[in-house]
Amino acid sequence: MIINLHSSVCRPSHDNRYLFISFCRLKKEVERCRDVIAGLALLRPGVTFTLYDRSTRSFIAKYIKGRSQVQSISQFFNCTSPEDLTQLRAISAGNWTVAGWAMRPPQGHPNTSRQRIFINNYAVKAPALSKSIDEIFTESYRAIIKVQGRAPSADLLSLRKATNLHSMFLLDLQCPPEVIEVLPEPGGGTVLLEDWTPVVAAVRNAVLSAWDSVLNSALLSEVESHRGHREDQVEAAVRHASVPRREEDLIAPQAGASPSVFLPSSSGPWSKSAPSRLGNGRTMSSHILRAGPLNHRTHRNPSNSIATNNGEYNRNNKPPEKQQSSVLRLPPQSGEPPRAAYSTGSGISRQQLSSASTIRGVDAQALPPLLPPRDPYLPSSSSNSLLQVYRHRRETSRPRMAEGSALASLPKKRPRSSTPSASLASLSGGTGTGLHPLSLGQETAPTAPPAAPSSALDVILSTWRNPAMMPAATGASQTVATLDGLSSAVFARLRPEALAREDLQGARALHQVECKFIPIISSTGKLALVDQHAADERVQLEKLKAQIVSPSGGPAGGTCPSLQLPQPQPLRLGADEVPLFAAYGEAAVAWGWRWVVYRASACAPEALAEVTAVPLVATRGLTATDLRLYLHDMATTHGGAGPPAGIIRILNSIACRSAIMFGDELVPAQCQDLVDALEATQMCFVCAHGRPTTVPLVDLVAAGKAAAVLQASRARPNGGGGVGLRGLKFKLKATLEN
Amino acid sequence: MEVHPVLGPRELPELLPIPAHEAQAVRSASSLSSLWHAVEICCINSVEAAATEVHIELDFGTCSFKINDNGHGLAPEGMSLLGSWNITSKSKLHNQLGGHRGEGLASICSTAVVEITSRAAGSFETHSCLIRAEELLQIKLATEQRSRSGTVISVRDLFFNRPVTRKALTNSG
Repeated sequence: MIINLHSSVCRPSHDNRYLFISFCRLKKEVERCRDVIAGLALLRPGVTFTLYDRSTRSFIAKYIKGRSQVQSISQFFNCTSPEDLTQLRAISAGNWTVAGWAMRPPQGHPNTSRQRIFINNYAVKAPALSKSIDEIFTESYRAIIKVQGRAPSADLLSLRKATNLHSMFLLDLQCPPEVIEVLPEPGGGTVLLEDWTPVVAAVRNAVLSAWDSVLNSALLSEVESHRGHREDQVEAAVRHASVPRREEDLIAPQAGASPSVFLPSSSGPWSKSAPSRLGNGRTMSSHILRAGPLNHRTHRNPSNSIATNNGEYNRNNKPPEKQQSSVLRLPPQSGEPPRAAYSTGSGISRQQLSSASTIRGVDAQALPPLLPPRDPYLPSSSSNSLLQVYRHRRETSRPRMAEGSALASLPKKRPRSSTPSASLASLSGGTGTGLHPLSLGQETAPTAPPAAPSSALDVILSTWRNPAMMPAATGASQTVATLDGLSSAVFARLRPEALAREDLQGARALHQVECKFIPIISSTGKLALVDQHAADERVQLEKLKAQIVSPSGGPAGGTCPSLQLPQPQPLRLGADEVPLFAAYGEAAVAWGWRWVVYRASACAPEALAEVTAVPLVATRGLTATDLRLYLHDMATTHGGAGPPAGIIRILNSIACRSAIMFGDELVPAQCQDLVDALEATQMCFVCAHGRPTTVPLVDLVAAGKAAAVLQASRARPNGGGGVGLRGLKFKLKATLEN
Repeated sequence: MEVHPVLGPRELPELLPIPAHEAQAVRSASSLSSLWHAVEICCINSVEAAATEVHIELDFGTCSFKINDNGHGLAPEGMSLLGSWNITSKSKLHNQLGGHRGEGLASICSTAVVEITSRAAGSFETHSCLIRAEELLQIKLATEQRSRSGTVISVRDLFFNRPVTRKALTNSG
């Protein structure tokens, strides 16, 4: 049983031309390997061959022993019609025995990859034999193509493809090994012989015999001449030929007549041998000549000479009566194809003609029209409105861009301003630092009347700047004479500048917020927000690190589990890297790496290390590259690098994946436990990936003081400093200065 | 009498033999051209060892492959000769026919790291040898003993000392 499991449907990415080209070459290499295995499996049905690709993790080909040779050869030829697969009958030519299989024309292949020649079960290259068979194939096949080409409905592309086909065959030759010499080459050596003539003749005879049903008259004549017919019998048949006969007359078996059959051999051009029969039960005596109604030209060819039983030419002898029913079919002149009228005489069936017209099933009309690639960056015709909107938006934003103001998101389909000068005037009438939405609306929507400020509060809000968004430096140095300054200063005092580890000690966790954060109140009265994922990530990382890494930076317990690699990983070493193995090899061995170093030599100028085992951390193994990085780190820090970076990377990944995620609900007790565990870690304010775990929000003590001042001012409205905002400002100023 | 000028160097260069490793590198380059050729060589060896099952694992990306067969294996005494040039186990008849001149495996061993593990038919022990750049690094009892006769040839880092060939192969792989 033959199974081809390698799929050739995979398509590379069209965006990367390099990958596409390399993919084609890779596919070619894979195909070449498969062809090699297929060639070895063809004549060895008792051997199982399996070809597995590790990169794709798939079987490329499978040839299970016990398979039928016919089946394997059909698979090799990709034969769709079993009747076209012909077996070459064994022919002995001197010391040679010729046998094999061939695909009957018009079945062909675009290249010569389906041509195999085996000599004593070894694949070789014999250009003389391949060329001879291809000549037969071409002569019997291209004539049909040319006939098809004259038809008005001929498809030139398919015809051209069809004319460039090669024959498909498998030759199994046996000979004494001393008569040949093989030049070793990849894919089978080239065979050298003293004389190729007998071998070529035997192969040609075998192929012609197998393809006799599809040969043209010239080749049939050659077949007949090989069996030693006289030329005078040809002329006699011409004289007695009157009307074309039916095919049944031509193929009527002659029981009595069995003339000697002549085969070429080394002793001479014609020699007697056992009578042979043609295919389809025809014998030589009945199938000497065939005739057509139009072509009566004689064609003298020494190879067509017909000899008598005595081996002598006798021009005066009349043909036997049994042969009078045969008709003369004179081969056309060289270069002239057989005419369509002799389609049956040429041996090509009409079915084959009809099948030849649709060779390969290629129909150029069925191909989709080629369209130019569409540029994705160009807008299509359906998005004209969007393009117009984009252009309009760009034009309307130019005046604002010129003033140095950043535009917020503009409403779509805004009409273009007809007076750019008016828009600039409106811009200049603003604060000068930027536009506010109200002014934008007034300027760009002339149809909507501008809304007048409803109260003084709106005016204040329109000019007020949120101090929380101001840089922190402005809080201390800004004067408190203005309301902005005062509020900034208050905010700065209320927001803690930093958090310390002492703040986490004894911190009280509040209720979880949005299943993401945990607000805490520290012992110093600060309100902070804890990221539950980042905090737990840090906690998990510290736990894993304590299990894997010792406090000194080496493996916990002195050794680390090691994973034996099924295939050693190569590691090419530079001249400066080989001493690192000697210097820090013990530390790497302690972490679980195992390797073999091959030093440079005259035959191998580059040193090589094969890593045979890697550290195993939580079911994850490191690589040879991690070993190289670790050795370099050790060299840089003179042995104080700590755990390998690969192990830290794995621990970080495990900690992140096993930590509490956003969305996980936590009860208050769990929140408190998490905060306590975070406080116990070494780096409690940074997660495994460098993100902050805790962010301070408000200093509650300062906020309490501010609230007390406000309450006092309300209790004594007529206190020092005036009433209303002025009084409040006075009191706040006094509080801050104190 | 005409005097013809003497062209060429004043001192004729001395004929010297090419170093052995360079000569073998040239031989290896001429007899081994591609990964599939190396696979073919090893498969033919497996077939000629009367193997009925030949399993091939390929990895074009790392220029490595592994062939496992159930042939008659290799005797421990002969494993020390593996990787040497013009060493063959085929008969003279086969040598004349298939061009077996003991260069296939030697070509592979001269340009790759080859590990051969084999259990000979009729033997109960499995031996392995490691060869790199024609240098036999070690011969020892295999860590994993085979249950039946046969040979495993593991070729790694093919063409490591032929950077141009390897680059062409890896670019195509």
